[in-house]
Amino acid sequence: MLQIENLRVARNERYILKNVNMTIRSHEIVALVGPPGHGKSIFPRAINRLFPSDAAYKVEGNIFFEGRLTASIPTEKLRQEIGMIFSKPNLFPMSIYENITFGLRLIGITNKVMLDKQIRISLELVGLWKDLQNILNAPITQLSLEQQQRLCLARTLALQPKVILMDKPTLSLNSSSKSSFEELIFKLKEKYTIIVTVEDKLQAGRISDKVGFFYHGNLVEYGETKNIFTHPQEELTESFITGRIS
Amino acid sequence: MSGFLLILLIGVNLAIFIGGILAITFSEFSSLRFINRSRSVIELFTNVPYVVYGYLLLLMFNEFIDLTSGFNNLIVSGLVLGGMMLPTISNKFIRVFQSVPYDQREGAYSMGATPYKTALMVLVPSQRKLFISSIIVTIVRTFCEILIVLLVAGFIIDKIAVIISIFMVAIIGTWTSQLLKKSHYKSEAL
Repeated sequence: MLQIENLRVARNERYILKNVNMTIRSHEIVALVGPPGHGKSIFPRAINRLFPSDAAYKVEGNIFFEGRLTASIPTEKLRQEIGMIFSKPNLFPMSIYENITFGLRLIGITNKVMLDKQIRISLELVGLWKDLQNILNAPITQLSLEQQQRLCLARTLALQPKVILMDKPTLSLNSSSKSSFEELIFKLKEKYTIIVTVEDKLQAGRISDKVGFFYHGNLVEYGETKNIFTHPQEELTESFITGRIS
Repeated sequence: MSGFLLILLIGVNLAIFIGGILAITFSEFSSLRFINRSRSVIELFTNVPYVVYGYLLLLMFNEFIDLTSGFNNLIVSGLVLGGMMLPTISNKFIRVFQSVPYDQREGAYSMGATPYKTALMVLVPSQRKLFISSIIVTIVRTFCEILIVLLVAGFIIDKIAVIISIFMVAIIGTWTSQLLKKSHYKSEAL
């Protein structure tokens, strides 16, 4: 699904990701772990070219998405195929209905029947249909944080992406919401390929098929979750797993 | 009076259209450093009285003024009025755009929206009360300045009525815009 070759990302001329090589297959959950500020959050952003506004970023290397070089795909089209959700729910201050249909209206779908159908599918996928079906025109301020984050996911799913990037999606949730959101991520694996940055290495162990460990901008080790946690090949990875590096 | 309202309508629409494009281009495409550096220049332009721009534009469009053609004069007056409002309205629009947190833009960009589409489909609807409030304040200021100039130039004879109307427009306009601002921030806080 995704093939990353020699990916380097510079922030204000300083490299924060160095020569990352990775292959991600369809319907896999790949968790990215590592200490804060070591490049794990910038990696998914390099895939869909959505960087923070604070500095100038430069990307080098090749990223292939379904065999196509992403540099040759228009940014707008790429972002519709590779969706992303963030650590904080960033819904628009509009109604629930308008939020979910935003992406569809963006690509020119205005047929109410189609929009309604897609809304139902998306909300059912994220487990919100029962709660929200009668209040679709209500403002988003009525929703809890977990519901808002699920709605962000529904908004992304409405565009039927193939890959979903998640940047610490459970960071703003409490522990019970966290575990139910993790279940949701695991459930979505059947239909989508997911790359998730996690704030807690144990979470990576719970939800992922593969784990990539980032340290000082380098992908130190990448492999099956079970192997990484039980038999790490690199000394640095072992130090991270055992808590000597945090 | 209807002629004046028509001129105001042309001017306001023109200022909103060009000011909107300028504000979107300035706030969505420029870097933060560039915006911060040029902020003082824009403030300087904003603080120049509107009549100065009006006079300059009038000189520019001088040759198009034809006293025998009402339509020609209407368009020229509308253009001049629009030009008078442009610096203030674009400055206010830029401020409104910049008051929106980057999170919201990021949400739209992550679904493939371009900066222009983000501005029109997300930022404008979500901040519409602030936009309307900016437009009201600009119209009020323009209206008051025009009347004062006409009064000083001696085109208006009933001075007391004009002064009272200026105060009324200024008070009602400012009050409405403040009300809109307050209700916007209240709904944001909910």
